[in-house]
Amino acid sequence: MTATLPRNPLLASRLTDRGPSSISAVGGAAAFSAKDLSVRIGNSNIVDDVSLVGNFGELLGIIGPNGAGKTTLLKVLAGLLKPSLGCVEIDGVDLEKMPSSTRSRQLAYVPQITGAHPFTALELVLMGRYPHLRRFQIESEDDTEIAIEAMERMDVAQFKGRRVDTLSGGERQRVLLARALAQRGDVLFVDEPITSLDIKHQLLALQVLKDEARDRSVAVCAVLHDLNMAARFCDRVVLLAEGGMIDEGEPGCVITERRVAEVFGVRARVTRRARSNGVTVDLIEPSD
Amino acid sequence: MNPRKLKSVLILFSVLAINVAATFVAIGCTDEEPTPTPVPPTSTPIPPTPTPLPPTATPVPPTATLVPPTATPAPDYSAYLDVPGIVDPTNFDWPREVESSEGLIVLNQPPALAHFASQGHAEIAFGLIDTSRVAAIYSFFADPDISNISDHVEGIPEIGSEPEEVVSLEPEVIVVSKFVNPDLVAVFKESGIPVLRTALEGRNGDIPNILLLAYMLGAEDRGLELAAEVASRLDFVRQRIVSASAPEGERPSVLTVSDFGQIWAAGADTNVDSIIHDAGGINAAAEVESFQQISIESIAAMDPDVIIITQPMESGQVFAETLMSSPALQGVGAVQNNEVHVVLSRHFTTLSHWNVRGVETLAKMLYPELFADVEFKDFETYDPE
Amino acid sequence: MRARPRTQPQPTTLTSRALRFFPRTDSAVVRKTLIGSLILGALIIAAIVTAVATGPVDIPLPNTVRAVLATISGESATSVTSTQQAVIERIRLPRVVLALGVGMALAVAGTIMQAIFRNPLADPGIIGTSAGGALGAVIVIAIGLSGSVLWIPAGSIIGSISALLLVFAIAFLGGRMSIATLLLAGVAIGSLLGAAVSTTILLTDNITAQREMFFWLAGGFEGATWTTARIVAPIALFGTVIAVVASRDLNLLLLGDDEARSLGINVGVFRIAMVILAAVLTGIAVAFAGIISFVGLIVPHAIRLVTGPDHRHVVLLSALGGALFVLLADTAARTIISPAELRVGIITAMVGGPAFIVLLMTTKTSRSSL
Repeated sequence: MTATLPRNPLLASRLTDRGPSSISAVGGAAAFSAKDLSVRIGNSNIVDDVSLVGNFGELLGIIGPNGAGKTTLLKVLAGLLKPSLGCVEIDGVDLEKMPSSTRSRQLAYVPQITGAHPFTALELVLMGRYPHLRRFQIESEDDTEIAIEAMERMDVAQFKGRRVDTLSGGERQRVLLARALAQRGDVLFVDEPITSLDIKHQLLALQVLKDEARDRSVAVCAVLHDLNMAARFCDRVVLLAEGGMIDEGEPGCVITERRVAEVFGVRARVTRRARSNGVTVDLIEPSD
Repeated sequence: MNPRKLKSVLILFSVLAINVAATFVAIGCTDEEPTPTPVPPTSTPIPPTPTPLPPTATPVPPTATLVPPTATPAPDYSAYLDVPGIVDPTNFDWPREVESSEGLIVLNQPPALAHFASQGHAEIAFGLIDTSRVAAIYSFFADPDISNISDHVEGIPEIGSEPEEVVSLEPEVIVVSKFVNPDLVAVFKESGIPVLRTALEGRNGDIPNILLLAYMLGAEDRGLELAAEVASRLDFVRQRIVSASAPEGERPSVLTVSDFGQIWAAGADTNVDSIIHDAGGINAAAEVESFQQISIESIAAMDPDVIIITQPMESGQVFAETLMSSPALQGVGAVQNNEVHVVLSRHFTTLSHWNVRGVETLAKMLYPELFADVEFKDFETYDPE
Repeated sequence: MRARPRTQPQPTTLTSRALRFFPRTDSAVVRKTLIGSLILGALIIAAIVTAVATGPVDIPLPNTVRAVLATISGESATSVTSTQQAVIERIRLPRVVLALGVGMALAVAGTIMQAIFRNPLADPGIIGTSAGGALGAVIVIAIGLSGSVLWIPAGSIIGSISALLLVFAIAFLGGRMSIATLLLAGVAIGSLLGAAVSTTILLTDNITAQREMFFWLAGGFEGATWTTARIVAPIALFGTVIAVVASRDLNLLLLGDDEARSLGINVGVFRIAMVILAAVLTGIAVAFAGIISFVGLIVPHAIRLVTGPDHRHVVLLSALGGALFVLLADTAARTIISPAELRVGIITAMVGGPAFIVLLMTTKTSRSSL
């Protein structure tokens, strides 16, 4: 296991004080909080009355079957989609009232895929620095350094001169993650960051996100499909099904054999890991 | 065939594709129908005072009009000998045969109804036969700005652009010009209507076309008469100019332009070019191939002695004012000498014997003292009496 | 209390702080902008000299220079005839300025449209403004309004604005405007107005007017006067400046709505603003020069092919490239068959068409695509 210890003493104390699983964070201290969120499209609630909180220094996983509303919820949290009901606060500030320039300095969002465009990987990662530049300011050497460093962390520095649309899906996904790191926001929303990565880079990417949370005290919120990965890296997970929040808490508490059967329709063996907060999930077969 | 249809289709495509536009410019500029030079209403009213035609030795045989219809001596039809398209120029009985690129036409009797798809042919036909034998006209035949026969179209059915409209009138023969779309000609021919295709020149009075149409329509006597009138009027002007013996190099240079948002000039290889030449002028735009767009600066460079504007009077006058007041043209002879004129463009832009009227107008404009004693008159249309 | 570490490394000294605002010459964007504008600027100057010095009226070069200087200073030049002065001052110079302005406007509008629609085939007319402008102009000609050279441009501008409003109205019917609805509404309105233009031409009985409509549509600068040049050039320049200011945001627009939003632009408002800007630039170009094809399509492509896709240099260089291309095309149009003239739209199409095909064929390995 690679349970990384917090390197920031200040942060470590904060985590200890509060505990990783407090849904009702102390007012103003939550990195982001959603209250009674609903997103209605047509006659169906894609997201149905969801309230949750994300804390600085924490990697929060959103899990759930296809169509549970995970991506929609993430977009609402990142301010890309307006909720039909409810509101989102970032660091205590109503997201809707936040100017987009401020928002882009505080929040980073990583979509599942990026569209086809002609930019190189480095150009794309440098765009993560735009929010920090004045209108006519060109990226400085510092910005380039930040970008390169982010690319190195995601193991894509070797692609910096390549056009993004010539990269494979997994490589592209890592470039996007690097851009989010370069954006240096306080809150990071990541949509299925490891879906098309190979196993090595899955481990690497999630470890980097977790380090980012711990070291820079960033709140990271990731939609994940792999329950083992979620259990292993997330401090907390939120389980969604049909738009509603089923449960929330430490992975070991949320991911149980019954839940996996009920929510995902899969018979699984869930084994508690003694020396970590995690569990391992052995998938057996669809339960019906 | 319907030239408006053709033009409409071309314009439609032009809007969609510039390249087609280019093609249209190329075609449109040489098309005889509405030549790119437009047409003014009467500027200086020319009273049709019948002035005696000057006696001249013409290449055309003596007119047959003086011969009483009942007279036994056969008229001299030798003029028909050299007319392209007449299969047997010695045969003046029926059936008759005429031939063109659209094939051989055999006519068993004089066609009672014929359709003329272009204005030039119609203008010639109106001088040869009774209008009751004309199947149809297009709207612009009735437009006095453009047409020399607008006064005589009453009672003739006006049709639109559909070829079907022509077919339904059941003309016995259709005459088309060289620019008419082959597909439309095919439609006519498949409907069983023979098509005669002849090129209108708009120079030398178009005498071969007069004679060919006259032969085909069974109006050979009237054809001789009209051809003789055209030839002698043209010759009269030419003779007088030669007699004035202005050397070629010292003749006044004439620029023929019209304004369609842009300025279009009649260059070499246009009927206007031969009009200018016949009237004793030099075409200032001789360097320009056919009808082309030119700029104000080009006019300054051409430095014409006379500018004639061939478009409707109202817009022509506006254009004349523009030219007269253009700073770049203040050194141009035509502007300095107030020789910018709007003319009756139907005499210049049509392709038929009516171009001779253009020659006469321009000749008198260039050599007023030479033609001071002459009042030119319009051509007459066919009169049964 | 929460004490989060600052997220952004701050410059520590005044010097480094100042340096952040000073363009680094080793920055690719700055380098490409500088080199590109120098080259294109030099070519434009050469093209202007050529354009002003050539024409049917033979004017010796020294006199040309004197006449130009006299035009600028407002004094009369010695040893230049009044015809020469008039040709330079009233005909060639305004025509050059108008061509530069129209080329600039079209190329910038094309760049913007290609970014908005994330489509390399987008051209300035894609949302129907050209067709609207054409219809406005054709209607003015059909009605026969005359007396001012500005009637047709005015009609054209009204047509462009109406087309834009119509497209917006349709695109907004479903609530939020997406590029798909905008594109569909634009193409639909464009075709509709195009059909209306054709119908107007066909229904016009006056052959003179019909011809004027037709030739107006083919595009050209022969009507250039200082009046028209003074209207077009400032608007083209102003629009280019706005587009340059917005160029970084255009980069983000290429990534997609979500990413653009998350990187700090208000996509909805920005896109509408950019559509309006492109429509104004297109409308003004169409109004004063008719429809000149391929400039807005081909110039941004050519620039991207050479410099890469970053709008921070593509916008400015496209503006310069468009100005250069149209000026050269117009100079060719009026000299190739001098003293007669070709339509400049025919030249741009004849050069632009094949050039576009070549670019398309090389685009797979190039950076010209979007």
